[in-house]
Amino acid sequence: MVACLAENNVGIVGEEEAAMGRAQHWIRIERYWDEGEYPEARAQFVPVMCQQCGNAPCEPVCPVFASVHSEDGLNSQVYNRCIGTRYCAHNCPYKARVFNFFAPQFPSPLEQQLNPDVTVRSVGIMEKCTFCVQRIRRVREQARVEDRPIADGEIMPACVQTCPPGALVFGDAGDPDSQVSRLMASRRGIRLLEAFNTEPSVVYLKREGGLDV
Amino acid sequence: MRGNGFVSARVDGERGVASALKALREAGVPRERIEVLSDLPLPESVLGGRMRATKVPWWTATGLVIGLLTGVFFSIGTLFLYPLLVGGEASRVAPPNFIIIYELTMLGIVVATALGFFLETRGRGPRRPYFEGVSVGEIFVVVDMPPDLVPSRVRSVLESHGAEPLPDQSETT
Amino acid sequence: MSERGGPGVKGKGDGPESTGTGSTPEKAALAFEAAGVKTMPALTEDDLRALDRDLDARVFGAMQSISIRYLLLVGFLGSVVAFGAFAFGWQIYKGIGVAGINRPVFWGFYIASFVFWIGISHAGTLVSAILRVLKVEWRMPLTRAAEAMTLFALMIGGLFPIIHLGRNWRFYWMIPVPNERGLWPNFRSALMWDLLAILTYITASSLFLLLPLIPDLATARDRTRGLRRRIYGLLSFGWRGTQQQWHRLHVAMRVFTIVVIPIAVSVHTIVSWDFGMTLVEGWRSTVFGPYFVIGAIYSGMAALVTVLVLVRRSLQLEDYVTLRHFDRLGKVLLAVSVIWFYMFWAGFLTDWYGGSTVAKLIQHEHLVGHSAVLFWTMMVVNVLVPFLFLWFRRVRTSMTAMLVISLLVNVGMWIERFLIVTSPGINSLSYNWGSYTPQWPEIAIATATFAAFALLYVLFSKALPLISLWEVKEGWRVDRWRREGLVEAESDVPSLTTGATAVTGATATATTAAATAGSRGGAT
Repeated sequence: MVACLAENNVGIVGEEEAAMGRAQHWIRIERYWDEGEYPEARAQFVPVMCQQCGNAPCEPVCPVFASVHSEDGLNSQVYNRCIGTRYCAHNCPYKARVFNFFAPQFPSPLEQQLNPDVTVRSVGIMEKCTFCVQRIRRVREQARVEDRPIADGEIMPACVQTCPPGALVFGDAGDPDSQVSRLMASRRGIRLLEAFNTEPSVVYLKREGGLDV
Repeated sequence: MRGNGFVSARVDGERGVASALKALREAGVPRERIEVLSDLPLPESVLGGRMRATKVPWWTATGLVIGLLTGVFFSIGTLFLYPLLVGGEASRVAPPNFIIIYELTMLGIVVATALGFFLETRGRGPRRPYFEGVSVGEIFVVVDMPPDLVPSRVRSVLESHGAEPLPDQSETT
Repeated sequence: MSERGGPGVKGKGDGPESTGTGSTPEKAALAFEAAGVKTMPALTEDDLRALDRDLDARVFGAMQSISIRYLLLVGFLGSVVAFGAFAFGWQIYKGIGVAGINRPVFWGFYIASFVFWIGISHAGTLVSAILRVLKVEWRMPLTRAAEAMTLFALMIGGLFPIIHLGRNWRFYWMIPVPNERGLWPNFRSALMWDLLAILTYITASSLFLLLPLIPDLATARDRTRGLRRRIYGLLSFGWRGTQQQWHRLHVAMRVFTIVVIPIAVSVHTIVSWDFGMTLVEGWRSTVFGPYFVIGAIYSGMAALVTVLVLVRRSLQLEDYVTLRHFDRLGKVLLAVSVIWFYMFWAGFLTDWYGGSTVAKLIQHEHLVGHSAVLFWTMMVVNVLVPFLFLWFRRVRTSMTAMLVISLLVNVGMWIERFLIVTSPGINSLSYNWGSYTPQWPEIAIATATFAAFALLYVLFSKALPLISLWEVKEGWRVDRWRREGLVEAESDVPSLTTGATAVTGATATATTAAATAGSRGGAT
C-alpha cells in the first residue's frame, strides 16, 4: 500500500478524514473474518484495487468521457476531463475509486519524493488504481526502442514489486505462456463479484489468497 | 398593399362585435382588414368564423424536424466524430439514443412553437391602433382602411350599427 | 379560510381592495351544493364586469402595494439565501470535502435535494397541463400559481447537480459542444440524459408560464406607468388583444399543453434512471421510473397545496382559490398517496423476495437499523397520515389541516429521496460500508433553496399576476355564451359557471365572487 502511495502520488488525507471514509488508497487490504470468535476464527485478507474490468460499469456513466477504455484493456481515468460527478464511483461494485474531496496534501518531506511520471491530481476529481500505467508505458517504449517483445514479468506495478512473498503477479493475459495466463487458468481462480458481469482482469486464487493480474 | 389609415370604434359586448362586423362586411371591407380587440378571446360564432390562420403549426413542425435531426446528430453523429470505447460496449449503441432524440425533439418543438408565436405576435409594418380600454374589458373594432373606401363612410356605417367611432388618434404599443 | 387559521397575515400585501373576504360567500357556495342546487343563477354581463373589476383590483392591488412586513420577509429570505451562497462559496474554496459525503456514500444532501425539487416541479405540469387537456374547469385560478412553482422548483433543482460537482467551475463541460480536441460529451451517460431532459423541461415550463401570461402582462402594461410599464410592454410582445392573437395563443398553448406532459414524465423518469440504471444494489430497479414519477406528482401536489394555502391567505384570494379547490386537491393527494405506496411496495417486495443479500440488508437497515427512524417517519407521514385523514371533507377543507398534511408529505418525500440516495452505504463488499452525516454547508445550502423558492414566489407575487386573469374571465362568460348560443355546448372553451358546476366544482368561485361583487355594488 505504501509503495502504491509513493509511486502514484496519492494524497495523504490524515486520520480524521480517513475515519470519514475518505482514505485515498488505490489498493487496500480488506479483512474478512470467518464465522466465530477471534482466536478460532481466521481472518482472510483480500487486496482490492481497481479490477480493470473488461465490461466496466464505471465507464458508460461518465458524462464527459473521463472514464474510458484504453486499447490495451485498461480503464483509464482522464483526470483533466473529470468534473467530479462521482457517478462512476457509485457504479463501481468494488468501490475501487477514490475521490479528491480536498486538494491532495503531501506533508513535508513527502513532497520531495513525488513521482514525476505521475500527475498530481487536483481537488474534486476521481482517481483510482491504474495498474501503474506509467510503468507499463515506460517498459513498452523501451521495448519498442530496442525492437523486442516485452518479456513476461518485465512490467511490475509498485504493489507487485514490493510484495515480499510474491503473492501478486502481473503479466499479459493475452499471452498464453505468461505466468499469469497459467495461473488464471487454474481451477482455484475466482473473480470478485462475478455476478455483476463486469469481467474483471484481476483473478484471485482461492485458499492461498494469491492474486493474479 | 398600403391602406389609408385606420378607423376604430368601441363596440358594446359580443352582440356589438357581431353587428359591427356584419355592417363592415356589407360595406365592402374585406375580412382580413378588420381587427377585434378584447381582453379575452371571443367565441368564433361572434366573429362569424375562424380568423386568419396562424403559421404556428408550421413552426412546430419545423422545430420537430430540427430537434429530431439534432438529436440524431448528438446521439449517433458525435460517436462517429470521436469514437471512444466505454464499458466494453461497442462504440455505437442504440437504446440510449432514443432518449436523446426524444428529448431534443421535444426541445425543438417547444422552442420553435414559442419562437413562431413571438415573431408572429411582434409583427412588422406600421404601428396599429391600440386602446387601453381593452384592459378594462372594452371591445374595439379596428379597420385597416382599404384604399378604395372612404374612412368617413365606414365610420358612419359603424355608428349606425351601435358602435362608437373614435377619433383617429391612437395609442401605440 | 381565516375562520380556522388563527391569526391572519393580513398586513402583508394588503391591497386597496380588501373587500369583505368573510366566510359568508364561501358558506353560501357550500350551501348551494348541500341544497342540491344544480344551476347557478344566471350572471348578466354587468355582474360579470363587476366580477372582472373586483378580480383586477385585487390582483393588481396586491402587486402595487409593498408593506413593511413584505420587505422584512424579503430581507429574511434573502439573507438565508445569501448564507447558502456563502456556504457554496466556502465549499468551492475549500473543496467538496466540506460536505459530509465520503466513500461509499458519494452522493448526499445535494442529490436528495435535486430529486426533491425536480419532483416539486411536477405540480405545475400536472395541474396546468393535465387539467387543461382534460378541460377540468376548476383549474383556472390555480394554473398560474402552479406553473410558477414548476419553473422556480426547476431553477433550484437544476442548480443542485452543479453544486454537487467536485469541480463546479467545470460544469459547462457537459454542454453538448465539442471541446478543443473535438471531443463531445458522452450521450450514453444517464447524467447527459438528465442535462438534456432538464434543459428541455425548464425551457418548456418557462415558456408554458410565459405564453398565457402575455395577455395579463399587456393588462399590467396598461395599468402602470414609467419603468414598470416599459418592462411589461417589452414582455407583452406587442399584445393588442386582437382575435388573431388570441387564436394564435390558443394554437400555441395547445401544442405546449400536449408536449409538456410527456416532457415532465420523461424528466422524472430520467432522474430515476440516474439510480435505476446503475449496478448499485438498492438502486438498480425497473420500477424506479414510474415510482419516481408518481413520487414527484405526490410531492408536487403537496407543495402546491402548501403554496396555495399561504398565497391565498397573504394575497386575500379566498374568493378565487376556494375551499372547493382544496377539497379536490385533497382527493387527488389521497389518490396519489395510495398509488405511491403501491409503487413503493412493488419495489420493496421485489427486493425482499428476490433475495439479493445487499438489498435485503438495506431493507433491514431501514426497517430496524440506523435509518429506521427516518424510514418509519416517512411511512407515517406519506402513507398513514394522508390515508387516515384525507377521506374527510372537514379535513380537506380545513386550511390548517391541509397545510400540516401537505408539509408532512413533503418532509416524507424528502426523506424518501434521502434514504434512496444514501443507500449505497451498504454495498457488495462489506469492508467498504459507511454512513453519511450531513455537514453544515450541505444543510445551509439545502435550507437556502427553500428560502430561495419562497423568495422567488414572494417576488413573483409582486411582479406578475398570480391568477390567470383572462382565463378566469373567459371561464365566467362561457356559460352565458352557451345560453345565448354563441358557443356550442361541447365547445373547447371550459366554463367556470356551467349549469352542472355544483358537480364539477367551480360554483364556489363564481358564487362567492358574485356575492362579493353584489355586496360592493350595493354599498357604492
